[in-house]
Amino acid sequence: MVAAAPRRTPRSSRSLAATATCLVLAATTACGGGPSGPVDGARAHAHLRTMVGFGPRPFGSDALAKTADHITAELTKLGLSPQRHELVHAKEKKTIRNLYVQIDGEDPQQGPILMLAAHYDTKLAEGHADAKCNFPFVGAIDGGGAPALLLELARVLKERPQKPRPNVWLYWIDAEESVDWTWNDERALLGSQAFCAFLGEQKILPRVKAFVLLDLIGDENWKLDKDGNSVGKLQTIFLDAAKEIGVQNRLYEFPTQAELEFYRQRGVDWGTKDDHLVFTRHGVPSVLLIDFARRIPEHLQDLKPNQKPMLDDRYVPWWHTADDDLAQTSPDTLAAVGNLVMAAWPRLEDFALGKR
Amino acid sequence: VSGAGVVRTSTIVAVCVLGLGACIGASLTHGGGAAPGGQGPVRAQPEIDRSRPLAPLAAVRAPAGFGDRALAHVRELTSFGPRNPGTPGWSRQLDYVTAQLQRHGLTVQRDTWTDRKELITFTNLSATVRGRRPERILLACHHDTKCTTGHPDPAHNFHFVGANDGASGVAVLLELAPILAASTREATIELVFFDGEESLDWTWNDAARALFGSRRYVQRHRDALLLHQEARIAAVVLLDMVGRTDLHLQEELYSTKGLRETLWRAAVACGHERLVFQRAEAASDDHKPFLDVGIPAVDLIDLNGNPHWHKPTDTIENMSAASLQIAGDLVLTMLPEVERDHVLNRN
Repeated sequence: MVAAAPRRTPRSSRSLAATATCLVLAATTACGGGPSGPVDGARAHAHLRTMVGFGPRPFGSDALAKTADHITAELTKLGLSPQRHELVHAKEKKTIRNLYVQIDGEDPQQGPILMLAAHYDTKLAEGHADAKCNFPFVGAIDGGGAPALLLELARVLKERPQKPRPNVWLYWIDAEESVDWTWNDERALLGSQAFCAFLGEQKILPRVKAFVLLDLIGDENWKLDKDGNSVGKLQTIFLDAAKEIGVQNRLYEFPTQAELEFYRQRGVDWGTKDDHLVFTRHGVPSVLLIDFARRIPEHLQDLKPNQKPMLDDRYVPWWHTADDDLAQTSPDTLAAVGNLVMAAWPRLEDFALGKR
Repeated sequence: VSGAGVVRTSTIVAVCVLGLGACIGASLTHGGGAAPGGQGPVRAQPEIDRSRPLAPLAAVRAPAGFGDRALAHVRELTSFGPRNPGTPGWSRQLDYVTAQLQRHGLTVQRDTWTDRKELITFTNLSATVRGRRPERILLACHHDTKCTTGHPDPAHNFHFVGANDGASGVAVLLELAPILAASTREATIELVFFDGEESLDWTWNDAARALFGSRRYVQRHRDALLLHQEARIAAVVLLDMVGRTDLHLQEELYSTKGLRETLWRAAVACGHERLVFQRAEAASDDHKPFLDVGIPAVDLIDLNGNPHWHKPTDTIENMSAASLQIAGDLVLTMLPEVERDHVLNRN
């Protein structure tokens, strides 16, 4: 992944840092909290705890299969009809379980599709040659928060009195993480690649008018970065929605202007490799909502001599470390991000219908 | 599967009566009994004359332990719970069948698609044992189980694991796989596990909301034939509900008559006559889409008089290794004759 990078905060100092941050932010939002809205952070967090309770959930694991069962069972309870797109990956010899569900719009069979997605597999942190890469990794934020929130959004969207105008597809993505510890294009984003190929074969892909990806959601002090591989119009929709509900200070602080200039001078595109890129390459306008900048610990930043690590005292660098656990998450964050999505909802529908 | 005509659930046949063209639903039990009003089931007269001697077949017995191993597959599959599309059990089953076939060196093909209208994602599995000729005989079953949730009538919502209706056909095919993989035949044999056989409505809803997997398979085969990408399918032998303790394979009346005769001859050869063709009834099943395009097919099915069909009692307790062994005998005895009739003597 292309990204900036922060400094590792000692665990003991985390709560202090978080408290300080909250005090700073208290003027506009409650500590760690989000705006009111239909999304119930407690419910989303309960899903998250269930998922984390299954343990590490890498692609192909029994724990991930159980997670898939939990997701489909919860969707069935809502009266929805979850579907599984499954295949055994030819090279990896593991089962990819993509899960999706449609919430019917005005034309369930032929109408446009607005897709909301999150990967639910966690980084494989065992069996690597480098012992430092082998540790119990439960992915509360990376592979937990976003898919849990998606389940809560399923409830909100299903129970809303008005049905959506486009069809809504909620999609839980398998096999996002690179099987190799260091990102390897050949062994990452396998689930969404297979799913896009499937949607293409089924002639469904042209109906997918917008793809919204949530990833790395759940940190008690949340923010969302402005990803370079996302469609500007969709990013604006979320910024406008954030302004309406008073959380605009959480959005798009990163990358900073200085960083953008740094990349521009070196001719490097700023952007995050994630599942939305697969949809973008298939011609679907996509946006990534991710809390990634400053979350990479120093030891995982590929630093050149004399290069300073990219860290920020406000943001705990838990990415692909044992610090990415339940203690780092907050129900309020899940509520806040979920309610941001719902605040943006009418505009997202408009976008999917070609009215924006 | 469905009994003849519009028969389904255990029991409803719509009989068009009255000059005004109204349809009255009349109850009809599966056991071949007559419906109230004297209306009998559609197509339920035996057609094979069992008293007439037919050319004998050489019995080919399934190996010792075949039935026990098949029953172990049924136990495993039913432990996954309900296996209708989208359920965890369905997912586990796909992996289980794949792994079992791969154990015998077979390559498993998955065909996954979403039905446009129903918005349900289905998966057919298949594995091919190449023969000297490309023409293929299909040994087929369905792997999905009846959906028993979300029906308006609460009596139709219960825990259903489909030991016989679903798992038995899968189990027999899984045990036939190593036998077939170890031998070389003239005909190519394809083991096919259809998804979406069961009607989504509780009451059998014609072909439109059932037989998704076989309809899809036939459509793709026809496309491939046109493009000369596949050889023809010579014949289909379908297994559905072949493992309950009191096994009885009815004379399924849609099945191609010559193949029905072959099944009967196989029963005679193996000494299983008492369990075969004592009753007759047509049943809509995955062989229908093949028959509709002129591909000969036969259904080994135990629907007529089956008290556990689509009931919570379709469980491992009502299954028998002996019955599964008999199903193995019948298929293996039929196979050389099917090959002779539909592959060798056709060229």
